Amino acid sequence: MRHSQQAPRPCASGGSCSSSCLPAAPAALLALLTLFAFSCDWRSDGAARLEKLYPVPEIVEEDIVIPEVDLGDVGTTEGLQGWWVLRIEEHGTMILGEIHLTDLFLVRIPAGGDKAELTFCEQLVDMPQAGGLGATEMPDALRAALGKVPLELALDVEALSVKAQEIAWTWGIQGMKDPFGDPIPTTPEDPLVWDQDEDKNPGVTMHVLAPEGDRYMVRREVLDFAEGQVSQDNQWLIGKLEFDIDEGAVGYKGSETLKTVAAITPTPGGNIYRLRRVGTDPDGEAPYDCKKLIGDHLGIFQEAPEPAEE
Amino acid sequence: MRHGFLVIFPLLFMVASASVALAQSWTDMTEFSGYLDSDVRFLVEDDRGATAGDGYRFDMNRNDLDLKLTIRPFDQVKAVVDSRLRFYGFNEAATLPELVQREPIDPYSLYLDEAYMAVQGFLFERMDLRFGRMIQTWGSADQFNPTDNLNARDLSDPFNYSAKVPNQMVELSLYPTDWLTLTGVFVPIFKPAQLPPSAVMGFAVEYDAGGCFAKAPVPPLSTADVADLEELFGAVDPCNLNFVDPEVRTLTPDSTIENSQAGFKAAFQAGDLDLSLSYYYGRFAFPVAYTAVALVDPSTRNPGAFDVKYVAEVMYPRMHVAGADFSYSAPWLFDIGFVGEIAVYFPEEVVFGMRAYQQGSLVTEKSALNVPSDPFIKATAGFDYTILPWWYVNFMYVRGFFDEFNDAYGIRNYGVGATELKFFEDEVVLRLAAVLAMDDLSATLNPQLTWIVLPSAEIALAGLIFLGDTEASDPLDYAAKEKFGQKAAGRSTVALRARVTW
Repeated sequence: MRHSQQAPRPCASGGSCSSSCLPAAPAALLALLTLFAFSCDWRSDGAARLEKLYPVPEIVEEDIVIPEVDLGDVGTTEGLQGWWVLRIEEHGTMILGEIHLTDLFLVRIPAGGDKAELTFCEQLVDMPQAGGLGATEMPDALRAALGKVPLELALDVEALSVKAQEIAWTWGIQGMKDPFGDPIPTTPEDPLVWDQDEDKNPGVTMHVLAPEGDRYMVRREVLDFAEGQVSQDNQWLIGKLEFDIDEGAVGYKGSETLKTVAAITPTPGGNIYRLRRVGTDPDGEAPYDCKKLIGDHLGIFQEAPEPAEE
Repeated sequence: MRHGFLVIFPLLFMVASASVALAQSWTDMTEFSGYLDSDVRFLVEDDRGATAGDGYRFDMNRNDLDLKLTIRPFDQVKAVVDSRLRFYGFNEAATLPELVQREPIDPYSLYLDEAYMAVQGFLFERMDLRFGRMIQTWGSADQFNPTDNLNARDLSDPFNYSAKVPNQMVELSLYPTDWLTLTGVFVPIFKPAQLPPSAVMGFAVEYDAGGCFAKAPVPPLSTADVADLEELFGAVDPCNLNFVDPEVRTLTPDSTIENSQAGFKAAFQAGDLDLSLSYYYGRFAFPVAYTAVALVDPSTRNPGAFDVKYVAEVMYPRMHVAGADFSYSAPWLFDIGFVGEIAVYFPEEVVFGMRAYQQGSLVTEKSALNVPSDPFIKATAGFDYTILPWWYVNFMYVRGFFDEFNDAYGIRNYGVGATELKFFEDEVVLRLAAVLAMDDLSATLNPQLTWIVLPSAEIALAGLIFLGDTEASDPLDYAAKEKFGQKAAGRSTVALRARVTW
């Protein structure tokens, strides 16, 4: 709840109102000086008035019923090999307020358990304060194109854990000498720009709902994974991460403002990755596909343990 | 109001004519004066309006009839009525039904500049009372009087800085000695200043040649906060932003006694020196930015576009003002006249708040201290001198223009100068006046050539020219607007006037 600041307060000079707030006055006006003391409490607070005129309602979160997901008999192994699903939760702020990103991946950990092969499925974007402005919708072509590019996480076989590591995940860019540090392209003519979704437009195409149009963009996300922790039952692998997103438009169709991409400032702490085992045989058929993961992810991850505080 | 005129004006004429026709005692007890003034003005630029290319047209076609009647029914009693009938000269009929009425075709209004009674020797021999609708002028400087706050300014005519909005008040004057006058004034109801027509430009949204949104008024926030807001609205194609012209609401103080005004003055006279000490309690008569809200919603008429409604509030902060002023004619120094006036303002603190909503959701919220509670000074100091019988000059340094209140725009410094040259036995008068804003070097020039055709009849050709950049040096900085360069200051105009007085 917001509070107005209309309570009487000392003068700006910090002294008592009847003395240091006032300069020496002519003798003939001394009798009037007591009147001046009242002015020290005068205050009109426009911010408080706006809160009175337009009170910000308390947000009452409705109980969301998340359907339970029965993964069946997932099985157990001594190592990490098998099938997993991964959810990465990133939180930040931008000019339109908070932004929350959720990336979903299918994960295969081959026998040996020294790496995890990630297949991108979906990115969910929530901007609760933007009122729809800047909302995006990922086209199927982009989703599929990103899914074709394998990402790998290095695992610690001994500790049964994700190693602390950074990975650079690029969209619409190829051929960077240093994918972590090279500047991302800014023009469609830049040879680094890659029509990854093969729609004949530079970079990848993201559909923007408001203002409506297509943004042809490039993007680099550096994910800095902290070492993970495996659960005792070997069903969960949880850890923290930090992230840095660098993105820009190299073309657009529709409103000219689509060429402007608002910067995202990561919120430190609270960014988490969670892996949940969904199968034990990495060479067998994947028990989950992207469509099923997108439908079930709330249920799959609702009982996820939290990473331990450092 | 207009119907009131229908009653009052004939009465004035009847009384005036009666004063001639009736007994001698009536002519002794009445004075009748006034003037007739015709004023035609033409805009001499087209870049200071709401849209580029608006200009080089007539801006005023006004006729004023001023009738002032002073009645003395008894030696110590006086009644003063000063009324002004103003015809604007522009047709305002916009629909066929309006064409059957005279008022829209020939709009007018009635001003009652003064209407008060005065009693000499009220209660005591050395006490006077004035009660009614009056205009007070305190201070010794020419027009720029920081101690003069009882009546709000009337800046509706940019050529006339000295006009004021009359108000009802009670004045008691006491004359304990020949060299001391004590005056107390009580003004029950606050009245704000009347702003020039250009003032709305201070809150206007501007559009480019293609009709797309170009610029919104800069709020009194930090440049970083204004940059945030620009970025917020920059996320939308300006051609998809349907800005409804801002609605600026004024928060008029309630009619309570706390919102009444009072002033006290002690005026001393010693030879060639006049000195006054004064105190005023009331409100600053020019509006100060208080709140602003931008409400952004998807356009129902134009899919993909957004309607933006901008609602701002302005208020009139309370203040105490302690003042002192003097005027002195120096016989030992060529009779140069010196004036000085200083006022210490103790203002109400004002915090400006701003919010933006998108489809009812709060997108951003900003606030900044607009008027600090710290006391500040407004002052005027200058001299005037008649160099030769036909050549007069004056100059003043002014700290704080009429409308400045140490808000985010600040208190600024000005040089005000005028010279008057008289030719042909005072039949032709050339007056050149200028105000220079020392902080940003913008200026106004006010040349005027007056021909006294015959005693009581004059014709004048005058100009009011604004010099300066209409664009702020920093578009994100509320204080970067040039005082006289910004469009809200006014339009460059040439006037042709004729006046007869009686």
